[in-house]
Amino acid sequence: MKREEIDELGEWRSHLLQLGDRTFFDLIRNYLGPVKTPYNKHDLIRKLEVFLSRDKIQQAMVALTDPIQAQVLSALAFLGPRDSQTLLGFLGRELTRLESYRALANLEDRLVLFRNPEGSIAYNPLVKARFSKEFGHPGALFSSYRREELPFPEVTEIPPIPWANDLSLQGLYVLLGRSFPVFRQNRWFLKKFLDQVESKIPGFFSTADRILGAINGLLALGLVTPNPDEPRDLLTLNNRWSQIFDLSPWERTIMWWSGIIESDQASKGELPLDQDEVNFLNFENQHRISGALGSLLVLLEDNRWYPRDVLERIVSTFLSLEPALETTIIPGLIFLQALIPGPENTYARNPNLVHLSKEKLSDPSTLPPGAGRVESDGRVTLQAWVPAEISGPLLPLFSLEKVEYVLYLQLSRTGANFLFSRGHKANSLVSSLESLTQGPLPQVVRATLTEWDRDFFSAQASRGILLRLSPEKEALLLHDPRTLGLGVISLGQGICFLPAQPSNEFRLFEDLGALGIPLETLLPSLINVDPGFPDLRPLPLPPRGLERISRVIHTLPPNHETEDHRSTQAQIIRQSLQEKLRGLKIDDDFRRELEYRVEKGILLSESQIRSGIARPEMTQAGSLDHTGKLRLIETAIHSQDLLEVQIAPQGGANDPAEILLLPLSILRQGGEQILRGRIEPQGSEMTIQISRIQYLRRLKSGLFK
Amino acid sequence: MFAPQNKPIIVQSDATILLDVHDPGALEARKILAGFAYLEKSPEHIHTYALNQLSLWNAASAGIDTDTILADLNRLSRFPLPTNLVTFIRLTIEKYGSIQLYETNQDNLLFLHPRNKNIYAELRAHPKLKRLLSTEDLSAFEDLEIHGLSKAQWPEGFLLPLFERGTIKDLLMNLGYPIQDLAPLKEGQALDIKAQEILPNGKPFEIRDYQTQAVEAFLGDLKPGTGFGTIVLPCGAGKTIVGIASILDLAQETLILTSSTTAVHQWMRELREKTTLTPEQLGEYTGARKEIKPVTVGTYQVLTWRNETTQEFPHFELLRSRSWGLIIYDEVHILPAPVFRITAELQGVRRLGLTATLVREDGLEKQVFSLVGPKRFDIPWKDLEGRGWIAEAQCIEYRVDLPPASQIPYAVAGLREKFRIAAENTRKEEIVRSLLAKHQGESILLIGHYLDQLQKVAAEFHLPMLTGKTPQGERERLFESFRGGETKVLAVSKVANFAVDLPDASVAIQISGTYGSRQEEAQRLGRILRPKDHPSLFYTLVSRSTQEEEYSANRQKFLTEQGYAYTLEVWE
Repeated sequence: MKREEIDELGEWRSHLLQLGDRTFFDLIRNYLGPVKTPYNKHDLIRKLEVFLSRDKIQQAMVALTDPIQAQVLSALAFLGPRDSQTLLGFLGRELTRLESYRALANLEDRLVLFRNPEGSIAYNPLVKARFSKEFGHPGALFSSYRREELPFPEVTEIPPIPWANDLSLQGLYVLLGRSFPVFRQNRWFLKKFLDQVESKIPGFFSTADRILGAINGLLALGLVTPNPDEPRDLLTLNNRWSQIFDLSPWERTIMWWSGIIESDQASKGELPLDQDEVNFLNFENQHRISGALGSLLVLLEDNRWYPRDVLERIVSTFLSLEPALETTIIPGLIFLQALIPGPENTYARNPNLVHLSKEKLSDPSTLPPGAGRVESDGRVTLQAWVPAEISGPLLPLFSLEKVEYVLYLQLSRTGANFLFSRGHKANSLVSSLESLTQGPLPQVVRATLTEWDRDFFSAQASRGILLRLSPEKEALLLHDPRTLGLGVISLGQGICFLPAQPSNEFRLFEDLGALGIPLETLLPSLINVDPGFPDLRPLPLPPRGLERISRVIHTLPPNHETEDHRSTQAQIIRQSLQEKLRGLKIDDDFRRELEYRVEKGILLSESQIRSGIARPEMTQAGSLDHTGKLRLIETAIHSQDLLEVQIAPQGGANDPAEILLLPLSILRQGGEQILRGRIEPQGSEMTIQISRIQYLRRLKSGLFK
Repeated sequence: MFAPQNKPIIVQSDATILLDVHDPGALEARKILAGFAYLEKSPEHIHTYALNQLSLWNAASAGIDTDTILADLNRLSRFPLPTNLVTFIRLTIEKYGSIQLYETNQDNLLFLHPRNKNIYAELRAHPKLKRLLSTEDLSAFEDLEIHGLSKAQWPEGFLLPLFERGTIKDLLMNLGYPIQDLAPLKEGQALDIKAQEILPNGKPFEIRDYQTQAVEAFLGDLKPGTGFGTIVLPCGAGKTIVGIASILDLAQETLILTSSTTAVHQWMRELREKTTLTPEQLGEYTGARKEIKPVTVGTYQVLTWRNETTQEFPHFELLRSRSWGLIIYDEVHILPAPVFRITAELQGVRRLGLTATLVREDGLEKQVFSLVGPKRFDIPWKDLEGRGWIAEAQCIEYRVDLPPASQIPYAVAGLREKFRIAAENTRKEEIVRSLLAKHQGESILLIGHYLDQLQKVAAEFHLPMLTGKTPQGERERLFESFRGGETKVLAVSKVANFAVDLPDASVAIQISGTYGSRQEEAQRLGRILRPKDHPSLFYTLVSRSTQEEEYSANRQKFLTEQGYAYTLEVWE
């Protein structure tokens, strides 16, 4: 026996020894028959160990395990010892609280499970090996189906392309780059803006909620921000767009999706327009979500349907998110069409995602031919497989004609001027376009760009700093080797012009500071230009052991033959026990108690069926049995058992309401007796007239408690 | 992101279809798309087709069903079909045939039969239709017979005056219901006509394959639903031949309407040369002559002339005066509004529209389609160029700075005046001089919008000039002299934009144009597209850094959409 097993056995023994005498002997009597005095608890436990170790007994224990109990056991095998709240929470997506609670209580009664010294529920070490082998299969917890296993009602040959993709992202960038009012005073979109988006990007942004999600996502990522001077407009922050365009298609898409999901969680479907609100958004959350999305989408396999609750369980089990974020992932991915709906509330990963490259493409010549086309009239068509890291830097050059499955653009003079203002020249634009289209541009396009270039630079304005300097500082500035590369222009005695160099502004201030020209103190406003957004960080690495997790969740689903086999065996065992019971001359109350134990799988062999093994006990009462109901409630309060309560229907309802209640006290109001209790699992308190209870059942937290 | 699977088309939710002409499957796709979509743009790389109600209804009338269209699109498409478009195609095709028009035994009455009670109720309640459709109890018309319908179906229809046939079609088209016109078109008076086998130049008279296809597309099987439509062919591709071939096939009295007296004379010359029509059979209906003969060629101007704006159009009688079997609308893109109205009354007659550029800045293309008839045949300009049926053309835009003396006046001028200053840039004369020298000996057209400018340039280079004020006789003489090669360079205003056949012109120099007119640019290029053994050259002169650049870019759109690439040169 391994050390670990010895420890576990010790824990189990000590658990039994800590039981109250009444419970302990009830338990021993059930399994070993009447206890003779003098007794020794240790001896009794050893006898019980021998009883439970018998092959036939373990076979019967396994056979008498129903499918719900099997799930509880699978969960425990997967998670390891856990407190009941965690275990019930984990199972809560598939099983009701009542089902889980009943299953757990029964498994404790049947000595399959016990509570270890830490209060966690664990396998009884004596049966662990057999039960783990039988139920330790995670297939029951993460069941999924091959596409051919679940016929899809309407076969779609080509699945939808997720609407938030590189094409629609680029379309929005070009569209929002032209400043125009976006919002009304009440913070909702202007109809004109919605119309514009719907007409320019009709397929992907066919509904207002997609537009809202897309814009919120951009706001959350800091790619756009409300214009401080004109709050109805959005400003595109080009340096941040450069960053997102610098990611691989996979990273970029996941990043945008995480922005959409995170902003939806933070804004609750409203537009987070205020700058403060935007800044307040939890970028850490977004970082976590992007990691979670990336991991989840890698974990799922193509051509497989996953039940929704299984997907939610995968998120909660493997992705280490806070509960508030956990709940956003699956609805978010469904909204984004990353998960596509299948039959019977199942979902599949959108197979189009395999086309999202995880590698950043830096060389356009590796694109398939025809990726970009420039026509003579300046119309540009970019195919869907042109990633934004290639086309993104050139996008300001265009106005948007349309985005569907291609990006349809028009060469724009305004756009060219924008790029000229950022240091581009016609030649560089021509060469970038030729590189994108993998061929020479039409002559008229080249000539047009050259003409625009000439026109743009026919009048120039330069942003920079005008310096008035003493003669010695001027001499330093103009002749010191450290400042020679700054492009300082002398405008006259003691007056110099320092062209703005946003790319290395920090170094500029350092160099000048070293020369004794402290610009930081003179121009504080120039230094604090950080818009207050954190950097776009790379996606976090997927959690370790992703492959192992993938294996875990893609193991075969439970073998139905085994389940059927168990069910048949259980029937045989019960029949034989009931037969034995029928031949026994015992009073009715005792017979009912034993029948109950047979039904619950607490009696396993015929040798257990004899008088003196149990004390009869009442566990349920109907509506007319007021005294019975009272006694049950009092016992439940004493033993802290839960009550299953059915209340007579009210207000036109047909069916009685059923709740799970932890009874706390019995109150008296006038002539009426009232039960006060706490509803499980919500935890809220309620009171109810006992006369209104139609049916009451005490759920013994343990038969031997 | 999404890999192509060697599929040539991209179907978009706005019902346009992009065809990647470089894809190996492009050729097959083009043939298939022609069955149910209209080709809108055919530039160098990506062609655009449009699916619309008309194209789909035409497809339905040709027997192409929804499943075939969707299967073809799915097979050729790189991406899933937009669901809204699938629905649009289904609903549109379903509508075809939901309202049918039948002939009755009454000369002036037709019967309109909605096949669905809801449509019947909708039409009955529609305010604009109440005036046109008779909802009287049909059983009261004891002697009424509706060809093709049993009496049991009568209560679900309307009687319609024959002359409202076009109006009701137009109205219902706008409501989204195409009428399946099952009433046969009127047969006109028979015409004794045959084709000449040998032309005056000694060559045989041959009709090219695409011209034959166009005639077949127009006339169909002569059954209901055919015999009205528009043929779109590039300038110089022989639209007149399509008209003549249609007359030959039908052999019924024909009225031809065209844009100018010069064009009338060209039609008459062509008819005389290529058919057996005698002078007694061929009439001219222009300002100068008012002959009505079995084949009559007239101008839109005469047809729409009237003394006062309140007066009726007296020459509309021309349309009713004979039992025409065919009316040909030449240059249908300039069809004047009053002719639309009278055309609405002539829906019982076969109607053929001919044009190179069915783009109208007034957006009335749809009305042309509904009243004259839908586009039945279209062929890209570059296709015919490739097969040598029209000349290869090179388009060159010269940009030239304004002279210093014009720069400040331009800067301070209003918008309209700015355009004029830019158009009349005197430095354009330097380019004209250079080009005339470069192309000495070739037949050159110098085309301008502003007469002052044209006169000045014509005077500078001693060129004969033809404008709207030039008397008809002088016009004919100038054109004839140009055709004969005695005149090598001819200065022309916009009167020569359309329907002037100048086979030898190989160079056009456009010194100014009508703002951003796409149609004018294309028509002007069309003047030099008659096939020849060397490329034709189309020069357009534009003032640099002025608003003329933008207008010029707009003018060029139609041609660039047809695949013509301009070269841009700067005149230093």
